[in-house]
Amino acid sequence: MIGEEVQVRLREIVSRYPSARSAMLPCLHLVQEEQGYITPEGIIAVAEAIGAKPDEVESVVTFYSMYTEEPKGRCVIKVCTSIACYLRGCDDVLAHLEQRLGIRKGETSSDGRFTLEAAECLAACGMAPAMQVNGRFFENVTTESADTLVDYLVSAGDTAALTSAWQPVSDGRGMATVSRLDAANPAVEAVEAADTADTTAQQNGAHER
Amino acid sequence: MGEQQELVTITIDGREVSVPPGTLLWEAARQLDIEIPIYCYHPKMDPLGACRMCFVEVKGMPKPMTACTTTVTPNMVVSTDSPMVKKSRRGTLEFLLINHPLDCPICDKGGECDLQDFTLRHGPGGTRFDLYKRHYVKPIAVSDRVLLDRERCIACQRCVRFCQDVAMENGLVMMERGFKTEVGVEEDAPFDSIFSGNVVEMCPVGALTAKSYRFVTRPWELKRTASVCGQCSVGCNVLVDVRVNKVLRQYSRTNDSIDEGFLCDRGRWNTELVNSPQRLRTPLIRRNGALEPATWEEALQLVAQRLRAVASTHGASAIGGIGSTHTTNEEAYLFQKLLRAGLGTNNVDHFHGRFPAMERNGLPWVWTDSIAGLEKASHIVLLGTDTYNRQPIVDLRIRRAIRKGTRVYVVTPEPSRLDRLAAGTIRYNEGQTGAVSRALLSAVLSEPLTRGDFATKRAASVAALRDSLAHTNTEALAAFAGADATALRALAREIAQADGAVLLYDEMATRESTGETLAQDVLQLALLTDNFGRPGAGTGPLMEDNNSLGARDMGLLPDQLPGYRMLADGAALAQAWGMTLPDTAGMDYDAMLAGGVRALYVMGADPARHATPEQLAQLEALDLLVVQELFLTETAKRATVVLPAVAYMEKDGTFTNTERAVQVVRRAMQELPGARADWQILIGVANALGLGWRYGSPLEVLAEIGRLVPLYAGISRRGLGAEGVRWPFSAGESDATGKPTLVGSPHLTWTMVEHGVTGNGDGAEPALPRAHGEQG
Ligand code: SF4
Ligand code: SF4
Ligand code: FES
Ligand code: FES
Repeated sequence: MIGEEVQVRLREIVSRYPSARSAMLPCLHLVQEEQGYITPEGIIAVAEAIGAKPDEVESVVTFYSMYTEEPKGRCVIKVCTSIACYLRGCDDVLAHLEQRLGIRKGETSSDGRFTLEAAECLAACGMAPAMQVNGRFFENVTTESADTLVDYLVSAGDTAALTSAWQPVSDGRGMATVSRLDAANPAVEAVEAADTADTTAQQNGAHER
Repeated sequence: MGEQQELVTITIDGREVSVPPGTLLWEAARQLDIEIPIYCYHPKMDPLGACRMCFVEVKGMPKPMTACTTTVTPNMVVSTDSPMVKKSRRGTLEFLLINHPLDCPICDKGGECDLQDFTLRHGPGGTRFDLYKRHYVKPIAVSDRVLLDRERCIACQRCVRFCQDVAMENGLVMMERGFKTEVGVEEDAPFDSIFSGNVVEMCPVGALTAKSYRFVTRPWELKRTASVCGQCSVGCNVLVDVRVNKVLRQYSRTNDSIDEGFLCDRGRWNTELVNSPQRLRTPLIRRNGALEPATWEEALQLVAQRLRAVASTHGASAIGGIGSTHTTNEEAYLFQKLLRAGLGTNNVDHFHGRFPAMERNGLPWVWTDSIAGLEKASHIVLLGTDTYNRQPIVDLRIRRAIRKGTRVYVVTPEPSRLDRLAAGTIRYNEGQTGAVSRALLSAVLSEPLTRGDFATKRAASVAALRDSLAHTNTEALAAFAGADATALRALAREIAQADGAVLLYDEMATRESTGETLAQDVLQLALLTDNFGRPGAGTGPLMEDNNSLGARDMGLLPDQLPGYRMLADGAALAQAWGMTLPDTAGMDYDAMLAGGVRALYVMGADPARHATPEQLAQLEALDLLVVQELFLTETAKRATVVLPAVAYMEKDGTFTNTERAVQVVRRAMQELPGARADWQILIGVANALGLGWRYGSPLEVLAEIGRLVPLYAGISRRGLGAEGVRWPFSAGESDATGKPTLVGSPHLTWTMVEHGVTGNGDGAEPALPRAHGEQG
């Protein structure tokens, strides 16, 4: 349900642009955030807010891969498979996660907890291989650090991971922000510890290949 | 047209061409007959530069340029066949073909496909791609009538841009991106637009096809005829494609002043009219209460004999004729001639809006501006119209105007598809278009908002008009009509301040209970606010059928002769026809149906369909009912004699559209065996009556019209050319091509108004246009 409160926020976003149509992307982020994915209702709400036709909005939704029209797991894991990450072993990470989570890339686990996706370059090539969990970056990932992360997500229940990752998503401008989890977060500590331990070895490994 | 412009001269392939600044290279090359292959570019849409097919080499530029987005600059040197160009064309085509299924043998587009043709002319001989091609389920229906083969799509986005930018309706959009890009429809926004067929015509490949044409024929088997659509009063130019006497499809034959190369789905696909198996194939005669097949000879003799019988027992005034708004001008002309000169009665009419005869000989109530003029208007006010359904391509032109910034007001009882794009909408109760229009006029008079010379010169008449409307002020009329008075007043103010407003009403709205003064009120509204006599300003009715205006022009009226000549001025016509003409006005449509006549001759009309029970009873009680028709209509079922006629694709002639354009209709196929064109039937009846008519073809009738009918004086088929001519043309004068010269500009001017419409008095204050017998 797109409630009155969301409608108000949509109007508010629209009011900040000289041309209403320019507000399409932030509006879509907002309705996606509200409902977890972009529903037909969300499309119509956005179309109305920006004075476009629903088909035009649909076209944009399908164009950008950060919008989804399918319900997804509570944790969406995106593994970058573009060139830098590819050279640095993302295939192994992805294969490992597929096996660990029991799903293929593009699928959602039957308990609705995890969605695993391959992503195009996440603009973190300097610390490849990179992946994102609900918009949060994890870099220099290895199969081990990926395991640690999944362990954490499973043991902490989804909520801890979700809230930490979910809250800052809207920065008040309706934009998704991406930032590293802060160091106080146990998951990050765990992952980063694993990172440090592995980095050198892995870099060497990559070169050897 | 317009002011002189400095031309820019450029060289293409060693040849010079001079074109206006801003011209695209593609267009400049076309003027030299140099083909630059295009996919995404479409002359009626903004350039996009998406397909990269149109590469040319421009001297001084390091890389190939797209001819569809590059405009000319002085002294540019362009090559369309340099090695660089050839290589880039080959490259583009090689890419396009990577995923193309090459199912040409079963593709409806095969034989007229730009991908086939350009590959042949400019493409690589082979491919370096030997992997698997992308495959999709095919075809998928994107609407009830249009199918999509995604594999064949080259992502040129013509269809998408048509839906979004031209039709501005829900429809096709691009989905996904990269190699996954495909055309699609959003579920909640179905592609049900009346303009949908245009995407099939525009698609350069076989990705979008018409359901009705799928696997039906190969294009080279079609016989193509240039003609005019006969399904509404717009008169779009079409190419009728026929195979073995069946209309298989129709494409647009671009006429920029009317359709800009678009057709509506009704015009494009409604071929039932001619292809239907229900068509009448033999004359029918009522014997012992039942209609039975008869020969043409029997039927024509019977009609003549029974007409003579009625005339001798009850007099000529007991015979009446109801003509058609669908048949050609030539047929309408012959019909009234048969009634007037042959049978001696002015009882002739057709089903039409309420347009009282003007006080003196004058112009009728016509659209004073043009379809193309809509784009120049600052305001368009639609009164009681439904352009989307009734005059779709006018609706499309209104959409183009909206895109250019025109403010459109939709003043109608029902919501319309234009509402979403309109500057404002005003709703009122069904049947109150007249009251609403008078409320606007009343607001203009009372505030007062009148402006311009026309009103100033007629100050006294305007004051008198104001007084006569004083008791019906805007608020009272708005309340009566159930409309918002404040909104109406605001609209009246906008009209009075507009750079140019076009005020259009639906012909049939004049038939509503308050419609009696509608035509006159709206005309006065336009005149008194100076919205007249220039492109982008004016007023008039949007007519109902393809030849509604032609029917009036040709004198299917009880009180006016062809060309709106008054009965009293009929001497010249009588002399030319060699007959005396009845000089009293005849019965109109309603009077004839109210039992006024004993014999009724109906050509191409179906009065029973709109008839009241009393009128139906009268129809059944007639001594003689003759019906010329394609189908066994409700009226035909009650006829004494039914004469099978043919559709507009099966005959030659002319139609006059809602903006006064007279256009040539051409026979695209053989007549249905057993049926005859209405003009042939009329000649048959006339000769059975012993009138000795000798017309060999509609051309000869047109020549007579050109001699005898004011407004059509000097008309000839050659002069009408491919795109028709809008009346008034000047009598007898024509240019080198035989095209009659227009009187002044193609929009009717004040001078026309003062001399024609208003019947300017001698020296006295000129009068306001008034209907014959109207008070005030
Ligand atoms: S369907 Fe045809 S018109 Fe539409 S994008 Fe594809 S090729 Fe172009
Ligand atoms: S708008 Fe009218 S004339 Fe044009 S194609 Fe449609 S029905 Fe035919
Ligand atoms: S290639 Fe993976 S982040 Fe850029
Ligand atoms: S026609 Fe020029 S880029 Fe498509």
